[in-house]
Parts: sequence; C-alpha cells; structure tokens
Amino acid sequence: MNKVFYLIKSAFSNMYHHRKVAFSLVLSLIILISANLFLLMMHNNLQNVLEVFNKNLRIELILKKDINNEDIKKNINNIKNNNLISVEEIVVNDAAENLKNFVNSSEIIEKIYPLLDKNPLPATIAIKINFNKISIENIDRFIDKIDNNTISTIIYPKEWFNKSLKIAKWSEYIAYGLIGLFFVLTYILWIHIFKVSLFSVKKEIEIMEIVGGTKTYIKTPFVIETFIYAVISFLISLGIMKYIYVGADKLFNKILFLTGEQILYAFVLTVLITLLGTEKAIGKFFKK
Amino acid sequence: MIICYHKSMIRMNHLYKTYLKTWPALKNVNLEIDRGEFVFLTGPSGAGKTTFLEVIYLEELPTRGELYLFGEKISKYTHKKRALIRQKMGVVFQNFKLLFYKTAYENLELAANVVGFSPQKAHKRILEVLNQMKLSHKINTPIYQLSGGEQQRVAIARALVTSPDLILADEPTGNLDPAISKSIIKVLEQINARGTTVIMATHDYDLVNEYSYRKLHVSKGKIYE
Ligand SMILES: Nc1ncnc2c1ncn2[C@@H]1O[C@H](COP(=O)(O)OP(=O)(O)OP(=O)(O)O)[C@@H](O)[C@H]1O
Ligand SMILES: [Mg+2]
Repeated sequence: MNKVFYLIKSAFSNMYHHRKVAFSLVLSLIILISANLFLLMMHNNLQNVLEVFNKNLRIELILKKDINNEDIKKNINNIKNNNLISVEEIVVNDAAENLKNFVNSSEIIEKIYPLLDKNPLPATIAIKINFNKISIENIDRFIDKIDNNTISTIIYPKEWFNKSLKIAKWSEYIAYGLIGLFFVLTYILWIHIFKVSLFSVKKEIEIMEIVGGTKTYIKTPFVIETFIYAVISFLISLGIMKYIYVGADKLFNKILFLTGEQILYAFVLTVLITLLGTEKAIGKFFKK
Repeated sequence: MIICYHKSMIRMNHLYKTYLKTWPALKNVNLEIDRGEFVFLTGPSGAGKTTFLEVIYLEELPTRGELYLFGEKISKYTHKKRALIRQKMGVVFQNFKLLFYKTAYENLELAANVVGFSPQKAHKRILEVLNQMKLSHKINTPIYQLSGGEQQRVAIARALVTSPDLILADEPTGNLDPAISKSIIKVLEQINARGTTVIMATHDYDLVNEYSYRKLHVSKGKIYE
C-alpha cells in the first residue's frame, strides 16, 4: 500500500519535472487520436453519402400481361418476406394505372389512344430498397428469388449498384488501413517522444537500479504517467469529435457519431499502444 | 520457510575480470569474506579496487571464475534477482551517484522506498542516518549546494539508510579531512559491531594503518592479504 502510494506520487512528480515534454506528449497524442476518431466517424457516415447518391434507384418489375390481382399480391408478399435485402417502399401500378400515366404523358398519345381496343401495358411493381452494403451485396440473389413466371422483365441499374458496392468496399479498406496506420504511427511516435521525456530522469532510473529497484518498480510510475496521458488525450480528442459532430450535424442532417463500441475499442487500443510504447522506451534505459 | 545462514558473505574462486582488450583489472582472485568482517581494500590508483566492488554488487560480470554472495553461487541472473541482491547491500560510490537537484532527504528517500520502507519508517531512519553523518542541518538542501565532503556524507548516509547486510564503500573518506574521516570510520565500526559486513576501499594508507582490521591489498589486479 505504501509502495503504491509512493509510486503514484513519483508518477506525478515525474510529470511535473518534465511538464514541457509532457505537454508535447499529450498534444501529439491528441492529434493522432483525433485523426483516428475522425476517420472512424467519416467511415460511419460513408453510408449516408452513398445513400444520398442512390436515393432514386429502384428495381422495376414488369409483370406479364393478363395476370390477376392474386398474382400481384403473391409477388408483393414474396418481396416483403425476403430476408436478403431491406425494402423501403413498394409501389404497385396495375395495367390501367400505367395506361393512364402513359396517356397523360403526352397530348398526341391522349388523342390516339382511343384507337386501341385493348390496354397494351402490363402492371408494374417498383421496389425502393434501403441502401446499405448488405442489400447491395444480396441484390442478385434477391432478384433470382423473386423472379417467377408472372414477371416478364426485371430492370435495375446493376452497373451502378456494383460500382457503389466497390466504392463502399474500397472506402472501408482505405478507412481501416488509415486507422491502422495511424495507430502504428502513434506507437512509433510515442516511443520516441516518451524516450525524450525519460532523459530528464535518466540518472534517477540509473540510481534506482543501483539501490536495488526491480524493473517493475522502476517502470510503474511511468506506466501510471502514460495511462494518465492516454486518458487525458483520449477525452480531449473525444471532446473535439463531439464538437465537430455538432457542427456537421447542423450543416448536413442525419450525421452519425461514433458508436459506444467504437469509442471503447479506440480507448482500449490507445491505452494499449501507449503502454507498449512506454515499455519499449524504458527498456532502453535498463542495463542489459 | 527455510532460513539459511551462511557464515560466508563473499567467496571468489579463480575470479578474473578483463575489460575489453585491456589488461585484466582483476587477476585470479581467491578469497573469502565472512559475515561481520570489517575489511580494508587498499591499493594504488588503477589497481582494481572499484572493479572488485563492482563485481560484488553485480555491476560487472566476472570474465572467468566463481562468485558466491550470501552463500549462493552467482552465475547467470535476471534483472530482478540482481535487484533483490542489491537491496541487501549499501554502496558508497567513488563518484557519489547522487541526484544533484534533489535534497539530501529525497536522495535517501529514494533508496528507502526501493526496499519497501513505510513512509514513517523511512522518515525516522533518514533523520537518524543524516544525524549520524552530522548533516541534520542540511536535510532539505539540494545536493548541488553542498560541499564535496557533505556530498560524500550524503552518499554514505544513503548506503546506510536501508540497514543493509553488506556495505561497500569506495573511497568514502576521499574528500574528508582526517578528523571527519575518523568519525566516518567510527560510524562504520558501530554498524559493523551490529553485524554488518563492511568493505572499504581507500588509498589512504596512513588512515588504514591506525586500525587492526583485515587488510586486502590490491596491486595490478591481484589481491594480497
Ligand atoms: N569500464 C571500464 N572499461 C575498461 N577498462 C576499465 C573500466 N573500468 C575500469 N577499467 C580499468 O580497470 C583498471 C582498474 O580500474 P579500477 O577503477 O578498478 O581502479 P581503482 O583501484 O578503483 O582506482 P582508483 O583508486 O583510481 O579509483 C584500470 O586500469 C582501469 O583503466
Ligand atoms: Mg576506484
């Protein structure tokens, strides 16, 4: 207990002694953590951006002529009860309605349509899907599943869907790659800056070793110090993110913040990385 | 728990220490120092006195030969093992190795905390040894404001503060006038009387000759009784 108290005390005393280096330690950590959290937040909102682009995309089913209402209902149920994509809206136009729309589309057609003895147009079903990665990935299987002999043609912008899927995938890889890179950078930078901070207590480490301090004993104050820096930097970075989030939310709507899980993981990773960096930095100060 | 008591504190068999590419600093040392002994280590500059002490407090590994400390053979050891052995020793360094910007009290506190003294015990013990070293009036003075002799006495006080089983003192009277030198030896004698083994290196032959303790003479790396 006495030892613990003394170690915490020496952690604070160390921090006071190299307060100038401590400032740059915290500052660089804040920059790196903020960059990382920002990337993570961007990644969360990528979905939103893609959704805006794909707002008007829909799958059109052109049904065969001469099918009855039962068949239409069956198709609708089929679409509704799929577990591949999430459907946002289904718009059904029966043959008469399609004809009415068609006729209303131009004056000439309005004049010549009484010549038709029979409605040449089929019924149609338009499906608006919730634009997300899983839905797009499953779209081909979805179409196979809903296809049946009451449907003559299915029209959807396959190319565009594939492209968005690729964009979404690559953005994800890039985001995670950058996040990983930033964590590695944090680790390397932390080792070096922390080593600089240790030079001010180099002699103290040497003397502690000589009077019989174990590695654990000598390291503990620095581990405590590192933990304090990591927590402070993380909280400040999170504050900055919240500030950015509030600002962005005013400009665009429906902006997503970080999830609780993401915050937890980022925190754990930050603490882990800085502690590993500190461990590595102190290692160089021990003889042998 | 098995309590072992070994009469032998230090034993060296055919021990050599050669620094890289130089003449051996210790050559074929065979000796035994028992618990409770008071030993003077004399010899000219560069003879190997400091090296001899460095081998004992495990700062330098012997190049060849056997070393026993506290009855235990020391061959390979971990950092932790070395730390635990060092906790049983108090070392006065020729160049003091004090923290210059810390006070005398803080320098001693560091050593007391390493061996796990409670704050109360540490406080009491620090004041006690500083008083013994006649430094009561300089407790809160930073080291850089102390004279050479005062710094030396802080270094001695730090070696004593943990009440170790073995004291290694490298020229502890190097910067002190004869009167204070004698008073330092008197303190070491008092500690020795309570069972602590003391090894003191010095090249002050006049001082040594006033005492009848065991004397080891070091010359060009060889040790003679
Ligand atoms: N780290 C080292 N590397 C190389 N040679 C060393 C090292 N330390 C000591 N020596 C050499 O070993 C020999 C013995 O040195 P040591 O310091 O033990 O002498 P000493 O008896 O303590 O002398 P002094 O009375 O001047 O303190 C010297 O020749 C010295 O140059
Ligand atoms: Mg010497």
